[in-house]
Amino acid sequence: MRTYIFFISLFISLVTYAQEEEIKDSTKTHKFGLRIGTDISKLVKTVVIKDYTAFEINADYTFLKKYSFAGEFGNEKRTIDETQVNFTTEGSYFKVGIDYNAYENWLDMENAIFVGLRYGLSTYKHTLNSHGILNTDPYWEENNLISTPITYDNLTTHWLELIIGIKAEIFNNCYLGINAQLKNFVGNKQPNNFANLYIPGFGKTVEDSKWGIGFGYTISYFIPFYKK
Amino acid sequence: MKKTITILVFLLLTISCEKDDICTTPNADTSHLVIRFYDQLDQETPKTVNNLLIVGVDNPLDVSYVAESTRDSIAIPLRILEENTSYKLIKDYVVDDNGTPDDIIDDTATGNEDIIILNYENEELFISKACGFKNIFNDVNIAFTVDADNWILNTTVINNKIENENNAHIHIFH
Repeated sequence: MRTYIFFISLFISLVTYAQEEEIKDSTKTHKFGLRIGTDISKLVKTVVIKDYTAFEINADYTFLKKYSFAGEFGNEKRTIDETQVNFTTEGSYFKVGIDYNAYENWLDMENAIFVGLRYGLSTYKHTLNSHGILNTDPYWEENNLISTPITYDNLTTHWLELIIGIKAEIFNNCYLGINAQLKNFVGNKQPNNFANLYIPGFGKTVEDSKWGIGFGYTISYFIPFYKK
Repeated sequence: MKKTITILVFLLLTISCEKDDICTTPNADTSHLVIRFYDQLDQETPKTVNNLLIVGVDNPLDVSYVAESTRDSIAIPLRILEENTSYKLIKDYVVDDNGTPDDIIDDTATGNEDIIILNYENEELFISKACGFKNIFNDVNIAFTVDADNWILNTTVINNKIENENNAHIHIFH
């Protein structure tokens, strides 16, 4: 509960901060439009890392000078190999929310140093490819690694996410961005006799913790709609 | 604003330091079967078994579980890929080295051998990423082979689910 209060209070403080700002820069013109892009780190990792496939589309639309609707959707498939478990998680996710741009832009520019809040939803499944049964007494010399796959499907996780990042125009309407995400479960039902060790869109989970983190490197294109 | 961002960066750094992936969960290991020996005549009183040697039937290395000793309880491993395990429990185990301690070929062993047969159902229980699963033995029951000279007189299953080693699962009376 304390976590949500933290998120909400942070958001409220941003809103009030923004209102003070609006008055003094009301004479400048602003471009409004849709910025659409992809997470390049996911593309690079798909090529470089074996057993990893991911794709994400992200977009934001400025509806007030400093506020944008923002969202991401994508899918992810990842195999994690640990001593006692080897599993593949695959699924799709989307995140929706609002970004607040704290950067004071020059005329006609849409650079951003932003803080945003997201609601995230992921639906996915795990396939436990192999698993070890812990038995430290070697007397019977049994092979404790079971390689019969087990599937845990129809899994859903909801979370709230705080995102901070920058988006900088590198050339005409093309933006390069970097961001970091702090996530906290709203709902995470564990599968029967296994655990959500990885969640598409959320990332790795830490045992007995509701927190998660993520990083993104985005490239996006800004489609201007009108000036004001 | 700057302050908020500083706090966020700090939080991100703190959370990104994960726990080591080392299995530290207590009681994560598959439990042994704990047997306690009691006096057949006074069934409340534990009674030691003299020079007891424990040998798993069909053990791949054909070795005893531990060296023979006089004790009133044992903890022995059950097979997790099979749903039965048998042990020879040899009481009064003595090796006669025939006067040649260095030559084991002419040694002869004596003792009263009884065989216990344990039947059960395996259940895998997920513990954690680092520990994996542990095996739980359900519906455990015990039988022993009858011969002309049994030292085991009776058995009782106290707890038919083996998930820890805190208390005896089976009592054997002799």
